[in-house]
This record gives sequence, structure tokens and C-alpha cells, in this order.
Amino acid sequence: MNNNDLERALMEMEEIAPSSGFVASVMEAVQQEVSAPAPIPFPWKWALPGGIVSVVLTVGLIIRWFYGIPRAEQPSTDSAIAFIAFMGNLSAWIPHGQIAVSTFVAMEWSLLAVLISLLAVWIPMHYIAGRD
Amino acid sequence: MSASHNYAEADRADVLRVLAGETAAFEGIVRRWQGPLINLAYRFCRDRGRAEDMAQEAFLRVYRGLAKWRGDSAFSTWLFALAINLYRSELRRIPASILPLDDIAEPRDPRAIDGGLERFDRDEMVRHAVDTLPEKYREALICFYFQEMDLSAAAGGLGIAEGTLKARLFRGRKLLASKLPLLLQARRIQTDTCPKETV
Repeated sequence: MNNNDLERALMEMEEIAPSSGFVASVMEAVQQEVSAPAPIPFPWKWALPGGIVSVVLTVGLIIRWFYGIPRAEQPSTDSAIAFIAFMGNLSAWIPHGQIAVSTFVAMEWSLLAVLISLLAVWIPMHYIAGRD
Repeated sequence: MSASHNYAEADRADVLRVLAGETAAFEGIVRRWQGPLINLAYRFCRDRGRAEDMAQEAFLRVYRGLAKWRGDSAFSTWLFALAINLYRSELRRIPASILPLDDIAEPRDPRAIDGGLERFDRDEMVRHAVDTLPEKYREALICFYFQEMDLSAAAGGLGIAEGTLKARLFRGRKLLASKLPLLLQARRIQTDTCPKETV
């Protein structure tokens, strides 16, 4: 088989005729496309503030992780006494009365996480309620 | 006035009507291009049913993207580029089933058994050999010969430079030329050792 035979064979590929219902089938699909409700646009207006807050928090956490949690200045004697008294009162509410300061710091983050979770639920609910 | 010019005018008019909200005008586009799009899909997948499904999906994408056609190139160029893109990704998703050599249709002409392979069978062998080529060479050969050896149209459809297409065509033909003698020889041995009974 020479090059000309090869060229001819490649040029004269087998042709098929469209089936009789092909045009109707395509037009039906197009009509379905037309009659389908338009997709709901993504609610950027509502998502954007949350997104920005998330980005800021993430960046903040990364910065804190890199540079470490800045140590608070030594509290003055008065404020140290007030803090110990506060912790003492708090420990009265907790069984065994053992609460470390590190746990208190962790609580701060837990509260923040709960707050963000609540906001994440509340914002879409508020958005949906607004659509009715 | 040439047929292609008439097609271009009709395409432009239909696109404008569809964009103006007259969905039925799209039928003109489908009627004009159904044959070429189905045949192009058939060359990619070698399955009639799948070719029609792929062509239908291509038409739907054309409909959705009509507003993106700027009119600076021929409608057919844009249409084929979109279809080729779709067919390629579809074939990557579900590759075409390539028939083993034994499953290729027996020669239609009884003389082929007695007097060697006839032209039809040889051509069929070439098509089969094309199907077994690596993807980039196969696509290059399919698009180039489908576009009646229009290098720029084929390169545009594949989204590659003309030089790249030329290189792929050269390599593809070379691979074909190396595969074909083996395939033809295997076919001869097959027909010599176990000739099928002709009714």
C-alpha cells in the first residue's frame, strides 16, 4: 500500500446518514433547555461578607500560628487578684474546681467557633426567609 | 455564489433569529450541520448511536453558547471547534471500544478471499489502524482529513498550531505505515487459514 492509497483511504472514510428523528430529537432537547427554569444565581451579596470574615480570620490565625500567641504583660497586683478571684468564683461552678488558665484561653476559641457556626446557619436562614 | 457562502449567510441569519428569541430558527442550523457533526463524531467513536448522542450534545452546547460566536470567523469553524473539543473530552471520559483484528468485518466481496484483499477491506484496515493510533495522532488525522486537508481549519478545531499539527500528521502517517503491513499480513493469514464459508 503506497502513500496515495493511504491518503485516499483516509479521505474516503465511511459516511453515515443521520437517523430520521435526529433533528426532532435535538429540537426537543433545545425546547427543554428553553423551558427549564433559569438556574438560581449564587447569592454573592450574602456570601461575600462571610467570605471576607473567613479570610480575615484565617489570615489572623496563620499570623498568630507563625508568630506565636503574644504574651500578655504582667498584670498589676490589683488585676491579678481580681483575676484569681474571678477564677475562684468560676471554679465553684465546675466540679472538682480544677480549671487551668490554658483551658480558659481554649474556651475563647471554642466560643468563637460556636459563634461562627451560628452565623453560618443564621445567614442562609435569614436569606431564605427574605425570599418568601 | 458558492454553497459555503450560502451556508454562511443562512447560518448568520439563523443565529441572529435565535438570539432574538426565535428558538425554532435553530432547526435550520441543525438541518444544515447534522450530517457533518454526526460523521465527525462517528470518526471519533466508530459507533453510530454514540455518534448521534455526541452530536446532539454538541448542538445543545452550540445553542447555549450562540451568543459567544462573535462572527469574526465562519460559523462552521466555530461549530467544528466546539464539537471537536466536546468529542475529544467525551472520548477521554469513555474511550471508544476498538475492535480486535479478528472482529473486523469479513470481506464483502468473495473475490477478496480468493484474490487477496480488495480495496474496501484495505480501506477498512486503514480505518482500524487509525483507531489504534495514540490519541493525539488519531485526532490529528481524523480532523485533517475530515476538513478535507485544510490545515488551518483542522489546527483551529484542535486548538493547536499548524506546525504542531503538521508534525503530528507526519508522525501519525509514519506510525500507520509501520502498522499496516503487519495488519494486512495478519489478515491474509487469517483468511488463508480459516476462510469463512460464503453462502
